[in-house]
Amino acid sequence: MTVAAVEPSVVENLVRRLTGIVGPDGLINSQAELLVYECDGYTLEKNRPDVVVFPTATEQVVEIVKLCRELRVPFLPRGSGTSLAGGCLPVGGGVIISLARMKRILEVDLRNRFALVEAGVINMWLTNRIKSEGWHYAPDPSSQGACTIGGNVATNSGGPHTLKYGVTVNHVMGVEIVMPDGTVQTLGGPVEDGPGLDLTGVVVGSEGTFGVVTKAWVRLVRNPESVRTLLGVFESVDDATAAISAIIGAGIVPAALEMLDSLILKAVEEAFSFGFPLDAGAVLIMEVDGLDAGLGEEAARIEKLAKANRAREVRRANTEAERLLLWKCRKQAFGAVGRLAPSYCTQDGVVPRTALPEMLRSITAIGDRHKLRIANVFHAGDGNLHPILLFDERDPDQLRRVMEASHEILDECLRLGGSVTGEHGIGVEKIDFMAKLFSPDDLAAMRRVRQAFNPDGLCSPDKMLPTAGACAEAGRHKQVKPGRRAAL
Amino acid sequence: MDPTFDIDGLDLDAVAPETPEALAQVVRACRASGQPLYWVGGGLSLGAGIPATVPGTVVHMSSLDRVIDYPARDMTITAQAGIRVSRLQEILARERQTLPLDIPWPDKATLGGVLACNVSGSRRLAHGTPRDFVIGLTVVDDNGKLTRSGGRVVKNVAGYDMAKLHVGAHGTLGPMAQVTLKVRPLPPVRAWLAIPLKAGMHEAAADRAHGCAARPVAFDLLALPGGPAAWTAMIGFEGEAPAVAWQVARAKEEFRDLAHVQIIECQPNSVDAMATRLAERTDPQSGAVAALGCLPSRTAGLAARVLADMPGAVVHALPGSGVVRAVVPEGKDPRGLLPGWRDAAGPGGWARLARAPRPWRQADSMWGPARPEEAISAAIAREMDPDRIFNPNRMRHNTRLPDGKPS
Repeated sequence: MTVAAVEPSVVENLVRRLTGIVGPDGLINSQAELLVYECDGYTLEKNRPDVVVFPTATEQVVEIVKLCRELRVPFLPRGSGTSLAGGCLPVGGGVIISLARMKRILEVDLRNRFALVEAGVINMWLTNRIKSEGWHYAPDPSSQGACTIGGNVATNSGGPHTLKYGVTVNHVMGVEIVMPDGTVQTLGGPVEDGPGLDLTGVVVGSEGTFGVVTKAWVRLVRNPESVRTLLGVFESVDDATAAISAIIGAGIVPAALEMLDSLILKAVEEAFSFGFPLDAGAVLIMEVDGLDAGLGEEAARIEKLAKANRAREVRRANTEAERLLLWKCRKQAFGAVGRLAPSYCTQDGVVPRTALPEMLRSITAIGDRHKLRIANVFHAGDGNLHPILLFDERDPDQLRRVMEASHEILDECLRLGGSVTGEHGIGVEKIDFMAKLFSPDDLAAMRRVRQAFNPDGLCSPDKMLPTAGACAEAGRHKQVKPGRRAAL
Repeated sequence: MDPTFDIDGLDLDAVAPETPEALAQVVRACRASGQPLYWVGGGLSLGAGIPATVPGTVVHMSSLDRVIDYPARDMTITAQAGIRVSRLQEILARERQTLPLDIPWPDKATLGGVLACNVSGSRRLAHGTPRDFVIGLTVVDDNGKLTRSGGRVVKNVAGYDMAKLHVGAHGTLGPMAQVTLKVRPLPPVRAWLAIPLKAGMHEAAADRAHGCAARPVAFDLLALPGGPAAWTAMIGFEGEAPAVAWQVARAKEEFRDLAHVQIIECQPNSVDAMATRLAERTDPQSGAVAALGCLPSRTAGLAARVLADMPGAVVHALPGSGVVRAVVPEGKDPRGLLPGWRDAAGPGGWARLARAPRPWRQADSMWGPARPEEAISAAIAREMDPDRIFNPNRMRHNTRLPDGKPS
């Protein structure tokens, strides 16, 4: 459904009754405070919600959802708002249900390898809680210090180490979900293979369009006994991507395989003074983990393959502190990009791993053609690219060129047999691409599943699937400007 | 291919489409007449789920057996769903790759059947289950249209993950025509240890495997009637030679005091055949297999309970995953035992018959008591197969009455 703005009289009633559910401290509705919630990590499209509500328990979420349904007001869940695709954008306004105050780790059971967490638990907190006992939660998006596990469930988040360990869906065993009709369902749980359909599997990655996930049972993983982290320094991006193909092609599954290009290196070096060679064309962070026995040999094989692909040098992280600093540089690279330009837009394309060299050359050509600087820092081992387009959003012409270049990059990913999103989600940003990726019949099948979960469409409207019958090439993005209502 | 085929005592006309389009055509024709469709891959799970009661058409899937694309260096493969597992593995092995699921009867089982029935085995501890390998899927919908989800890249969150619904759905949401899988490198070295356990040591062995310094890819407990011990622990390792050698030595030390007789190093190939050999303990037509799930820490205890209740059963437990399977001794009706096993399985636990002779196949015995979330499954089935033409009645969410009406 395409939603219309909520009537002021309805908003007034809504606020009064929501206050009854969560108390005056449990919601915000002043225009100034709502400003924070008009977008998430994707800033090119914005729209203010009418109310943001902060429940502290599933029972409150139920009441909120039932109220929204009664008043026919759209609602959507939000974690920390780190989505880079507008997943938390309140299209058409309505109620944002923030899970930020549902942040308890309810159970940790290492013997049975699971934790039960509320949706607002920050990803990193879970690993911090269990690391002293030698365990961790494997999905590690770069935003893991800020993003919530509920948000990870919504977008099926990845991260550098998902190359070996799998993405969020591989680690979620069950969820508690408040359905769009206000009923609470428990799907799956810590016991595996329960009879019936794998509803948990299809809820993960549904971007909040199937209901509000309030709790999740997640799998916990023992830490590897040992880790070797290498830094390959290359003269060119081309050489680095060839090395990636060689490593994967040799049948090695590293724990992580990440690329940073020269532009990113400059930014992270300024921010963290790691000692990156600023004259390098690209570096690869190459990590293998497992038992100590034989790990040195595996690292040596990787080093050899890197050098065979013209690595200028291969450094080893000699201490845990050095390794952690290297990962800090990688994971906070996006933040460091602020040193390069006032605004940036990150894309999330995926190509088959062997197509990486060709794709990176195309990105360079597209950047040149649109006179844009594009930095690259990404999950090379998965073929998951994050080209970062640098610009100044005060200049409308730059904005237009960023939009055009972004779309050309994603089109090129599709031409090479890939996808427009590996881990950030469709959100509002890439909704027009769905009709390029999928046929009307494919989309109709997905729409039927959404219909089963969310029949009246009030939960996260206008997300993930394009409106049936709408023209995919209506040029919506061309008209979009910051501050514009995204639903238009 | 025989012109007719027996499904649950119904003698039905059979077809064997050779292309996805031909499969779609069959669906269109049957949708028009409201006639049910029953998919058959390797014919190994005909005793699963609730019996068919409405006559229809049998669709043999095994002629849909082409490999569409195998970009080995991307470590993905796209194949039609009727391909035999053994052939798929042969093709992958030529590139030193594999699909690390332990599938019984690989010469008969089809990829689509494995996915539809969600078959997994010992190494799920390290590699996961079928849901973890499907990255793209083409199914035929109830209008006879080919619909696709996912893609051919290993990481992709565009659109709903429809494959998750179809894996384990026993064909009730439509037939799979084509599948894209991510695959793994063949491990350079593998090793298996068999540890016949001292009496009463099966729970201690499972606890020890949980925290052991070695990182096995499989840890199974096996009760074989007539074996040297009531329980034998099977431990599998994969990886680079030094890592495997270290783990074998280490595990021998860690488990020595639990061994009834000496620890045996097995040929990995012989263990590969274990899944089939265990499956062969039962007749695919007439035998019964019980399946149970519980928390990992309860698995060994639950497996022992099953063995105590059914002396002479072959019991295969995976304590890392909390899964127990038991081949029911001939002549034993296990249905009366299921409620007690559910209690013993603890919170969230389940017990059902994975396969059974027709008279024993009621909804409760095959799928356990009804659960609230099945309302969602039923809503999905109503959307995706409103006329109940896809394997009707196999699961509780797609009930169709004998008069042909959806219920």
